[in-house]
Amino acid sequence: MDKEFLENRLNVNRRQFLGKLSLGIGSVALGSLMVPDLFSKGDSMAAGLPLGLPHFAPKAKRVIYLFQNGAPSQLESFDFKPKLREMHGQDLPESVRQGQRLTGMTSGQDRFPLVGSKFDFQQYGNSGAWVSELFPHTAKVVDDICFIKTMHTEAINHDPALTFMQTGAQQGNRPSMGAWMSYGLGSENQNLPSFCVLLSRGPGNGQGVYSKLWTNGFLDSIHQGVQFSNSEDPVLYLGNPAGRDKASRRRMLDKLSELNSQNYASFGDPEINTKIKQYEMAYRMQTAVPELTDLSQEPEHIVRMYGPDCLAPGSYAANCLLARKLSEAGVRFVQLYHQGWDQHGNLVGEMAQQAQEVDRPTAALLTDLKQRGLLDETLVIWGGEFGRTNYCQGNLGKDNYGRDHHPRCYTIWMAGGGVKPGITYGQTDEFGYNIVENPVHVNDFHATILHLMGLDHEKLTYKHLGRRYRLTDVAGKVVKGVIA
Amino acid sequence: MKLFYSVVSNAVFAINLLLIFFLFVEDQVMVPEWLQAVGRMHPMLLHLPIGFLLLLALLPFVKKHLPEPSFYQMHLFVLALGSITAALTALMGFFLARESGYNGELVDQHKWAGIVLSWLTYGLFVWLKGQQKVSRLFQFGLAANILVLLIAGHLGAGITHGEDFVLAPLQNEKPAITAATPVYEALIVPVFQQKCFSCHNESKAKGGLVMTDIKKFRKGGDTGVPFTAGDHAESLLIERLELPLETEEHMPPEGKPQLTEAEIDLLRNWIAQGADMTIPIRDLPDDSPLKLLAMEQIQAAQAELEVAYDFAPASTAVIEELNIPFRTVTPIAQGSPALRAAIFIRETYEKEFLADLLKVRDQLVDLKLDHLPIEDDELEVIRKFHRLEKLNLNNTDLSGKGLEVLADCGELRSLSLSGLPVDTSITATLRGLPRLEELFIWNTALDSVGIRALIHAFPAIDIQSGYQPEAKELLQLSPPVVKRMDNLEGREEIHLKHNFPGAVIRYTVDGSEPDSTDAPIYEGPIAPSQYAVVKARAFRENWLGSEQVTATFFPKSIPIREAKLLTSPNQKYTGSGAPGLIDGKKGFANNFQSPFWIGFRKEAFEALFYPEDPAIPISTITLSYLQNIGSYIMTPMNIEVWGGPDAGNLRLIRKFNPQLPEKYLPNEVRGLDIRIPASTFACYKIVARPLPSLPAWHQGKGDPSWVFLDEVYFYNDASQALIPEGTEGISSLNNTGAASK
Repeated sequence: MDKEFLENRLNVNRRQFLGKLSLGIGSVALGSLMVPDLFSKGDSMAAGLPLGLPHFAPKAKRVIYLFQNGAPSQLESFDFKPKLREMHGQDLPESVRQGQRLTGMTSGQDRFPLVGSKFDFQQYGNSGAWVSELFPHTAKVVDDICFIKTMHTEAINHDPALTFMQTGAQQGNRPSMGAWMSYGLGSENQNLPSFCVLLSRGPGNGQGVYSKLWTNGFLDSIHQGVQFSNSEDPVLYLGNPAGRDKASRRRMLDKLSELNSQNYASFGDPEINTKIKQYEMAYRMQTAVPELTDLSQEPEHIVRMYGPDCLAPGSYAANCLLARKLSEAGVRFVQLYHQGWDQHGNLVGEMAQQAQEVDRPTAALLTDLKQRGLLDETLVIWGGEFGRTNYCQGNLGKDNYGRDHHPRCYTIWMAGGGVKPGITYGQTDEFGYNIVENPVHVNDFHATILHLMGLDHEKLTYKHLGRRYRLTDVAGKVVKGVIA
Repeated sequence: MKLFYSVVSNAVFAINLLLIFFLFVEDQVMVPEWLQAVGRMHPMLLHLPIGFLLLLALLPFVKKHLPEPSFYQMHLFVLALGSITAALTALMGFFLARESGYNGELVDQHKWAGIVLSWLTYGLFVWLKGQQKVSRLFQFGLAANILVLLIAGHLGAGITHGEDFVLAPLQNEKPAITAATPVYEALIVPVFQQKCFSCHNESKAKGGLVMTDIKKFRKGGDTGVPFTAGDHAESLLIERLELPLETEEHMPPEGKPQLTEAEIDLLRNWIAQGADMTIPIRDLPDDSPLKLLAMEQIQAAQAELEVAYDFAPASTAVIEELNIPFRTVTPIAQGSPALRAAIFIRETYEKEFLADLLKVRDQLVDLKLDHLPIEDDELEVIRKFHRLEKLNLNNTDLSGKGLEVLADCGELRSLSLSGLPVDTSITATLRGLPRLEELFIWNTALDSVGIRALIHAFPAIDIQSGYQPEAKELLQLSPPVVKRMDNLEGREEIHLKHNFPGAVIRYTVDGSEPDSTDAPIYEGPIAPSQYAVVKARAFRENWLGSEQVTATFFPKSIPIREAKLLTSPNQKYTGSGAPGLIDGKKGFANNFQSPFWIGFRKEAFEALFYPEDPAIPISTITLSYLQNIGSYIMTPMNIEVWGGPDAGNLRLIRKFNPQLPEKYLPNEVRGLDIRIPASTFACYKIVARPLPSLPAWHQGKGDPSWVFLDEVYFYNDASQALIPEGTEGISSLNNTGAASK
C-alpha cells in the first residue's frame, strides 16, 4: 500500500503537469516581452547572418587603394611647410626631433640640415587645399578629397611599415585589409575575385612588394588577393586552349568538381572546397574578364582623361583604368601598388617623374568614378607607408637632395565612399616633423575604413590559435572627423 | 520572550530619544571615525525595516490558517524587529548625514521622514504589545506607517541615485540639439548627468561640489575651483579624472561608472576652448574639435529623425533563390529589410534576371544595371520597383526615351544615366522625380549648352556631367605592344598590338624610322627571314604619333655541333650550361633567374663553339645578352673572338670594347654583333669580360658587374646584308621585376 502512495506522489498527474506547464509558458512569455524580435518575422532576416553583410548600412561599397609604395614625400606633395624654406640648410633643432630614432641610412650623419620643398605650393578649390606644382591634376579635384596630414606609424623601414599598413601587424602573418573586407562583406560580383591586386612601377628608386601583403593570413584562402598580371592579359591563361570550346571545358569542370567532392568527403579539408569554388569562378571569369579589358565600350576621351599611358598594360594609368572597371564590376577591394617612391637621394628629379606618372590617372580615376555616380559608394585611398624627413639625407646639393624615412607624420588622402569631401584633417608642426592636432594611427585608419564599409572593427573578428583577431587587433578608433 | 520585548521596547525608546536629542544639537555633533563606519552601513541596514514592515502588511494573507494567538505573536515579533532596525537605521543615517557632502532639501526631508518612521513604528509596537490581538485599527496604523516608509525610502533613493532616478527612463524627451544650443548643454551636461550629478547635486554635494548649478559649479568644492578656463592641464576636474583608478582622489570613485577616454577628451577640449557655458555651437571656430563633435551630435539627432525602413522584409528563401552568380541581392545591412541588387556580365544577361527581382519589389532600394543590354521595354519592369532610391543605368542599351515612367519610382534620390543617348527631353523625367538629389549624365547626347540649361532648370539636383575633353590638347599615343610568339611551325613571330581602337601601327625592318605615311601598316605577325630590328610606332587621328618601339629579331643561327664552357658561371646562375647557348631559346628581360640565362661576374665568360659544317663561312657572331643595370647586369666590357682548327690551336681574330651604358636604361635583351673576316674555322672561342668596377654614377660604384647571356648566334654574309655597321639589336621586352638592392 505504501508503495502505491509513493508512486502516486512520484507520478505527476495530467492536471498538475498542465498547470506547471502553463506557469512555465507564462513566465517564458513574460520574459519574451523583453526580446522584441523573438517571435516576429521568424523566417526572415534574423540576426543569423553575421558575415557577408555590413553591420550597419554603409556609404562605401567598394575600396580602391592606390598604394604609393616607397613613401612619397609629404613635404613635396600636400603638406606645405614654408618654415623649412626659411630655415633651409639650418640644423633640425633637437627640441623638435626629441630623440626620434633614425634609420641606419642617416644615423651616421653629423648634422641634419632642414630642407625646404624645391617645388612651389598653391591653394586650390573651394577648400583651399595646398598642393604642390607636381600634382596639377590632383589639384583640380581637391574639393572631392579629404587630406589626412597626421598619419603616423610605428615602423621605420619599408617592409614592416608596408606590412603594417596592409595587415595591421608588422610581421606579416595576418590577413590583409582586402581579405578582411572579403571575409566581412563577401563578394559583390561572384564572377570576379572580391580582392584584386594590381602592380606597377615608376622610374624612381623602388622597393619590392610581396604576396604576403595581400595574403588571406589565417582566413579562408578564398579571401586571398588575386594578383593581376601587368602584361597585356591581366589574367593569364584565361582563354580556352585551341580546340577546346566552352562546353567541353564545362564538362571537364563538372567531372573535376565531382572528384574533388569525393576527396572532400574522405578528407574534409576545407581547402578542397575553396579549390572547387575557385575553379568555378575561373570559369565564369572567362566571360567576365574580357568585358573588363575591352576598351571598345569606352569613349576616346576616357583615354585622354587617364592619359595615353593607360593603353600600356602594366602602367599605373592602365591600372587606374582597370581598377575603375573592376570596381564598377563589383570587386570589393582593388589594391594597387605603384613602386618607386623611395627618394633617399635625387628627390627632385625622381619625385617629379613619379608624380607625373601618377597625377593624371589618379585625378582621372576620381573624375571617372564621379561621373558614373560611383564615387559616393567607392572609397579611394592614396598614400604611402610613412613620410619622409624634413632634413636632408646625404649631401644637401644646390639643386637636389634626399629625404629619409619618417614615421611620425605623413599625409594620405581619401575620397568618396562617405568621406567628408574638401577637408584637411589633422595638423603637423611648422617643421613638418611632429603632429600638433588630431593624430591618426594606422589602427585608427583601419578602423575608419572598416567603418566606412559598414563594419564595426571591434566586431569583425576571426578566431585563430585560441583567440579572436581583428584587423585593428586591440587598438584603433574610428576617426569621426573625416566621415561625412 | 517577554524579556526580549521589553529589552527591544526600551532600546528603541532610547534610540528614538537620542535621535530627538541629536536633532536639537545637530550642528554640534562630531561623529567619531569609528562611528562613521557604522553610519556608512545605513544604505545596507535600511533594507531590513523595509522588509519587516512589508512582511507585516502581508501577514493577513495567512490569517485563516493560523489560530488567533499565533497570528498575534507573529505580528508582535516582526514588529519588534521592525522597530529596532528602523531606529538603528535612522541613527546610522543621521551619522552618515553628518559627513561632508550631504546637505540640501532632499537630505533634510529624508531625515525627518526617517525619524517620523522610527517613532511611528515604535508607537505601533508599544500599542500592539498592550493588546491581545491584531485589531483592525492596528492595521490602519500599519498602513500609515508603510506610507511613511515609502516616502522615506523614495527620498533616500533620490539622494543616492539622483532625483527622478526611477522615472527617468520614461522622461526621455531630450531637447533637440541645434546649432543654437549652447555647447555646454549639448555636449558637457549629458556627460555630467550620467557620471557626476548623482554625487554632486544640491542635495548631495560630495566634497562640497555642486555641479548641477552653473554658479555653484564654477565656485567649486572644498578643494578648489574645478577648472581654469583655457587650461585643461591646470584644471582640477581633469586632474581628478586622470588620476589612477586606485587613488583615493580619483573621480568618479572606484566602482562607479567611469568616464570614457572620449568623454575626458571632450571635457579637455571644452576647457581648452574657454569652458564657456553659454556659447552656442554655431559660434565655435570651424576647426575646433569641439565643434566637430557637436556637429556630430546634431547629425546624429537628425539621423534619428530620418525614418528607418519599416517595411516588411523579404523571406530569406526568396533572397537566397535570387542570388545566382550573375545577380547579387543583399540586405543593405544586417537586420535591415531594404535590399540592394546588382546584375553583372553583359554576355550572359537574360531578361529574367531583372524580371525575377520583382519578387522583392517591395524591398529593393538600390539597383545597379550598368553595362547590361537593358532595352527600353524593360523600363516597364524597373518602374515597378517603387521603393528605389538609387538606380544605375550607365552604358545600358536604353535609347534614353521613355524614361518618364521612372516617375513611379518616387523615392529615387540618385539616378545614373552616363553613356546613354539622353537628350534635353530628360527634363520631363526629372520633373516626375521630386526627391531626386543626384543625376549623372556624362557622355550623353547632351551638349554643354543642354547641360547648362538642365543645371539651371533643376537647381536642387546635383547634376554631374563629368569630364569634357579639351579638344585642343594634343596627347601622345602610347607605343604599340610587342609580343614574341611561336607560330604553329615553331618559328618565332613578332606580334604588334595597340589597345586603342582606331590606332594604326606602322613598322620597318630595315633599320629606318617608321613614319606616318610610307612605312607599312601592320596587319599580321612579322617573321623576317633574317636578323632584323623591327621598329614600330602607333598613329591615330588627332593624336601625336607614339614613340618608337624596337624589337630584335634573331633568325636561326648557322648550326653549331657543340658548345663547351671553359670557365664556370656563377653558381647561382648556371642556366642550362653550354648547350643552352645554342638551343635557340631566348631569355626574358624581366627574369634573369630563369634557366635561359647564364651569368658571370668575377670570372670572364669563355666558351668554345664547333660549327656542324665548318665549310660555311662565318662573318658575324651575335651575343644575345641582358641589360638590367639596376641589378648590376651590364654590357660586357671586352670581347675577344679566337679561331682555329681545334681548341689547342686558336688565334685571336677580333678583339673590341663595346660601348657601355652611361646611365640607367630600361631592362632589355640586346644583341651584340661581332664582325669578323669571313672564316671557316672548325673551332671558335669567345671571351666576354664583365666590367670589374661599376662607374661612379651607378649605385654599386666600384663593385664588379655581371654579364648574362642566353644565346650565341653565328651568321654568314648573306644573313648580315641588312645590318648597318655597329647596330645593336634592342628588344622591347620591358622588365617589371624588382631591382635587387
